[in-house]
Amino acid sequence: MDQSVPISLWAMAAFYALLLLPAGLIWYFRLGMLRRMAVAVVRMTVQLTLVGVLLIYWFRWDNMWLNLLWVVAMVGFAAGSAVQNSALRLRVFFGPVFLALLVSGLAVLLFFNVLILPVSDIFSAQYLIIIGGMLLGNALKGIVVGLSDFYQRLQDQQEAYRYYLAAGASRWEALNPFFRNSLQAALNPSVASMATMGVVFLPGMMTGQIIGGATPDTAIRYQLAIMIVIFVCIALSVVLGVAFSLGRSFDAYGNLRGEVFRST
Amino acid sequence: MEVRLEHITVRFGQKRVFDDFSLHLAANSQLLIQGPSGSGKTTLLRLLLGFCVPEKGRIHMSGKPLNAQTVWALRQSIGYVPQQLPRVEGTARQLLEQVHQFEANQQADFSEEKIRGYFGRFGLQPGQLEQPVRELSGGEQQRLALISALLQDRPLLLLDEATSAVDAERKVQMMDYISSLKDKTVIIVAHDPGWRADQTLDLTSTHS
Repeated sequence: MDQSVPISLWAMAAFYALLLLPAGLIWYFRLGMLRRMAVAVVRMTVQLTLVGVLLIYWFRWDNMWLNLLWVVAMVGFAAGSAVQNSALRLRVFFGPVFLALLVSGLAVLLFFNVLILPVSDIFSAQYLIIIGGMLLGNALKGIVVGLSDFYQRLQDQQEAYRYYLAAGASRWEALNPFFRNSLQAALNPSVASMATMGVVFLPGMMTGQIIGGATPDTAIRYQLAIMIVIFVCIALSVVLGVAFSLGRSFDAYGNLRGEVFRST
Repeated sequence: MEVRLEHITVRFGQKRVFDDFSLHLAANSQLLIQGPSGSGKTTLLRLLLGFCVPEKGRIHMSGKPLNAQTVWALRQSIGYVPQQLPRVEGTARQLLEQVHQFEANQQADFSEEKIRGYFGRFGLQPGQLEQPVRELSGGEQQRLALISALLQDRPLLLLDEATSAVDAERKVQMMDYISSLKDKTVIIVAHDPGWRADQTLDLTSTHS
């Protein structure tokens, strides 16, 4: 059960009061982001409160289909957010990114749950929604970096791509150097983060579990497992994101379509 | 390889680059294309490579129509020498190896002997094979691009200002060698005087 010490409303109010410090700095140094900061704090509060209320019901009902629906909705928001955080056009990329995140997220999520839980519990809200959220949050960052890098590099170095095609390369052979670079760019932050984990910082999941009453041994195992599946999920989602988007991004002659990028 | 363009129209925005343009080039003959910048010289090569799709008209190579289905196979019949090698990582050898690794080129002879033969013919030192491409001068990169296209041994050779950065002596060597290729159809886009060809097309006239 919940062994973490609850935070009282007074304590919460004190945390919000602490925001006066950065707000004062922003005002004093005229950073011009006071309004943005206020909107962000309000959005965070409303969004998390709503999610908290919804989760209370979702945990109470704990229905497999409703839990899967939650995951699909999360994938939808993640896909929209991923594309909008890049220079890519939403109309072209939403579908491929949604499908890539859904396939990679669900496959890795179910693998994680199957290894840890009894089969009857693999769709339980506590694991499907919570672990799913962690996976998607990280896969989202990976797919933004991977897809943006792939298409931007291709746009910038279109002459190299065409040179390979003119030298007789198949579409895949010509795209291969660009894909290698984008996969590397997407995986690099996770590799760096894994290399410093526990030394430079204590990861969030482990911290949360220990505060919630888990032993450090259990918390570390969970953290290791989640880091591995996050890494796998990023790799899969970038590969699938690129693969699913190729059909919409190139014409039948293999030329990159102009409408791939959002007009600025 | 015979090349035929029939009633081609190409427009970039409001600008009409080709309007009902036709051209026939017999197999194993050589065509020199001249004309001012923006007259469509490079666009013509891009049309043949499928990098530019005409608004109207048809292109045939060896009797086969160029379309979305045939473009992939037809590109494998073309050796292309761009004005500038694209920014690529790695050495000259790695670039040639990469091109050789494409499935379409695996039967082509990229042997050390052949590569060194072309290096010697066009005045490159054997040691330059191990030099990063980006450290080669513009003229050396153009010679490397030509060597890569020749190693692919394709029936149609497209040269886009292929000698523009090469010194006068090497330029003559390259021009002489290209002129001597009797088993290839060659299309040369050039400002350089000195090229010899069976046909010359001045694109200034098609725009006047």
